[in-house]
Amino acid sequence: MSGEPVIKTEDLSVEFQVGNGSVKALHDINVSIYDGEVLCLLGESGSGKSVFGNSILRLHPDNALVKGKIFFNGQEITALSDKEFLPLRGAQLAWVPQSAASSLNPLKSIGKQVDEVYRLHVENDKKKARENTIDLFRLLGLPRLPELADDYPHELSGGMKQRVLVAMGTSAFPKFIVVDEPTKGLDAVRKREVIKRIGHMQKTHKSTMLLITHDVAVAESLANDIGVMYAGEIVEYGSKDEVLNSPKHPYTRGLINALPQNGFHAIKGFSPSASDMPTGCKFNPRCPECTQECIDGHPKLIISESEKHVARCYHA
Amino acid sequence: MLEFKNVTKQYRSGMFGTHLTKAVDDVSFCVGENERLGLLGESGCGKSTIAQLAMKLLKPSKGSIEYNGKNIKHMSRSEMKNYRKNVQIIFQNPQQVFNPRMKFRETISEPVRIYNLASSPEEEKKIISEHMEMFGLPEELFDRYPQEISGGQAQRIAIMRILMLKPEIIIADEPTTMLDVSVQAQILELLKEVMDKNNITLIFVSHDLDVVRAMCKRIMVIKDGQVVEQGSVDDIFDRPENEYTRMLVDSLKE
Amino acid sequence: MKKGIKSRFFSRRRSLFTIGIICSVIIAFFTIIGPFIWNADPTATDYANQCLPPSGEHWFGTDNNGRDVFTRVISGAHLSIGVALAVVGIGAAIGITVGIVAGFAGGAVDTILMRIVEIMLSFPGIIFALAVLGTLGNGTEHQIIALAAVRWAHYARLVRIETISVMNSEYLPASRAIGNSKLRIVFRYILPNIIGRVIVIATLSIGPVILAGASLSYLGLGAQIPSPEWGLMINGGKEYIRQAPWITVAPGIAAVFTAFSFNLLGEGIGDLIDPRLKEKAEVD
Repeated sequence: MSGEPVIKTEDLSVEFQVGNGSVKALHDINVSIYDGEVLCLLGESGSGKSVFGNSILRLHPDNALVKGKIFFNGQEITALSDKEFLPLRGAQLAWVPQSAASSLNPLKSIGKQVDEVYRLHVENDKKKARENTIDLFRLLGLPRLPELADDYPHELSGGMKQRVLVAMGTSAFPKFIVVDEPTKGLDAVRKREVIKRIGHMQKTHKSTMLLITHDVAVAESLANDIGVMYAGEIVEYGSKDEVLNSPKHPYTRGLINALPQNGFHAIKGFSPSASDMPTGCKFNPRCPECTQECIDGHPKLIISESEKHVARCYHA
Repeated sequence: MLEFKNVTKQYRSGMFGTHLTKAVDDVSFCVGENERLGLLGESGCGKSTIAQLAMKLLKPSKGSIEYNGKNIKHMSRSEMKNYRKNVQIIFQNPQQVFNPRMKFRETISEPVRIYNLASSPEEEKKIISEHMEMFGLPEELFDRYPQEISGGQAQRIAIMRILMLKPEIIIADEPTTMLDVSVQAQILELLKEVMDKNNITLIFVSHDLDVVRAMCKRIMVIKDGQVVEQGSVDDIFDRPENEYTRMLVDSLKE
Repeated sequence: MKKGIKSRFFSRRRSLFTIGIICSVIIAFFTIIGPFIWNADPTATDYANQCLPPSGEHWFGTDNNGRDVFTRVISGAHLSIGVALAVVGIGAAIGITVGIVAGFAGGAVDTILMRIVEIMLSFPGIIFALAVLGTLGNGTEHQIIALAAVRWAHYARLVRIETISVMNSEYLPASRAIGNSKLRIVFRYILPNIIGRVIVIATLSIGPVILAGASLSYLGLGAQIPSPEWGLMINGGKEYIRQAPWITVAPGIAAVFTAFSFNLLGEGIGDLIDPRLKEKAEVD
């Protein structure tokens, strides 16, 4: 953890205009991701974790309003125009979307689709692009190489498609990759394989990564730092071991207790919807440790060099 | 109660339909009252096809499926209605199993109307609101469309909707695969509670050994459409005999 | 953050839709209210004022029989547009029925119905319509029948495809599992999920049908002289196109303008209905 962070956000908030009102999906996110590190955002669907990834890559629908600043290698990318930003995306900032099934072009062989990214952003050389693609596929543990590169998406299993997407995201050697829910909908065996391979690739390339997931097991095997998200906020932040072994926030504890190996103990109630937020601490209606203080006040979260493991909780 | 006798389901594929693929290959099993059976296998192994065959959403190519000794293929209209009331299914993807153009008010009242569970509109309302309360579902959901609620809530509604029928058997086809881990715990807890309270037989289809172990007492391991091993949870988990089962268990035990 | 390229594209689409609505309202005004305001007899001849160019008195000039072209265009609107609406309505009704039956039943029923549809589609539409009119004889009702006989096959093919995609959705097996009757599945599951697309395609096809209707009349096979039908007016004016082009141009512009407006309207409705383009807070 030294030098400038690759990605740094300052008070990043995102609102969506819906009808006449607006819905706040993300509140004042302040995080830094350093070179070669993996930050994992852990949270349920609807917690705003994908919104965060999309803000970095400017992938929002046009009714989104992004406030605050995002820095990439010290440069404020939120200040760039679309024209200035576009060359960064794909080349420097890459995205591995969720739903592997629908993110690949069904009419093009997977090899070609990965080659394209390289030829567009690195060098327009057919042979080098293909070599690079095969190397990546090998790194990601795809079988039957090099013939597999000529297969079409429908010939692949879900886990393999997911790995092809990862290869697409990384083939232009980006500085920073957002990986959104890489294991959603995969079965246990395939999930394990995908996690293992992403980890291997990340270490080999020393990639800087933002990993978005709801799955504690994924975070556990890939992350350096974890930010736990709830209702558009980071409620706990710290190194992987700190957060998972000595969680400070009751929500994090709830997530960990809900794991199969801990006996599926569920957190009571539902996540609040963005249009109907409780006052005070947003977790208070579901929290077993809720006190009057939690209803009256909204706890803050300040991440600093000296105090890295922090939680948005009065009782932490 | 429900018995599969040498059931095979094959599909024709290839350019001229000459190639036969067996999705389910000579599967036999039966479930009795209040039993908890787990069907375990990787995606594409045919376990969901078994669930659909049991629901008569697909017809077997060979073999028969019997309910209380009667082949479901030869059931009369009223027998079939009775069967559908008693054997119900929970699907994998809760956000896609409801008609996207229908508000939940109508979706939820469907089973009540189809099976004449209520004699008056007031009674219908009462049955529905009782169940909504039991499942911790707010009534404001009535005016929502399926795409407007979370997966966890949608799955709760799916479970509630079939529970109004008081079925004897529930087939759960990967009911938590598409859900977040924390929501998965809620749904499994709910399902367990519902099963115990109403003495419902459960056939639980899943790829996740942890989940199957938490929900079931007996497991059938399925590979390429065939049952490769079956036994109690402890036997499968601690003393797997089949090589594939051992591989599966080992890879998940890590 | 500044608006993206995409958003500019979409807002342009939205303003096109607004134009479509405005144009349609104008057309509706002229078609429905127009004849009461400009209530001169569209067939009254005045041989003293033949082929007058557009002026304050005769906005679109007069034709070779001294009839006011503007009055004729206005009073002909309900004929031309009415025929088109009737054709699209009847065609869509038949098409929806055939398409749903084919898609829902599948198997042999599907094969037979779709072969018929393919045969219909393999004829050039206007020639088939000519053949029908040749058999039935001229007249507005027969013109409607002839055009609807061509149109329904287009709708049937679309509806069948949409029905099949609903049949393959995950909510259909679920609806069967809970025990819904076939009839209910058709009316509460399939129809609501396909009707949006059908409305879009139907609206989009109003334009071409107006033009096809005008073509038939132009050939003398629809409305009959002296009715102010647009195609017929164009036909009547063609011999005077050098001296008095307004006789043909005015109804021509009216037909194209109407077709264009309905196209914008159809595309706009499509954008509204298609959930992929809908403004939506995708919170995750």
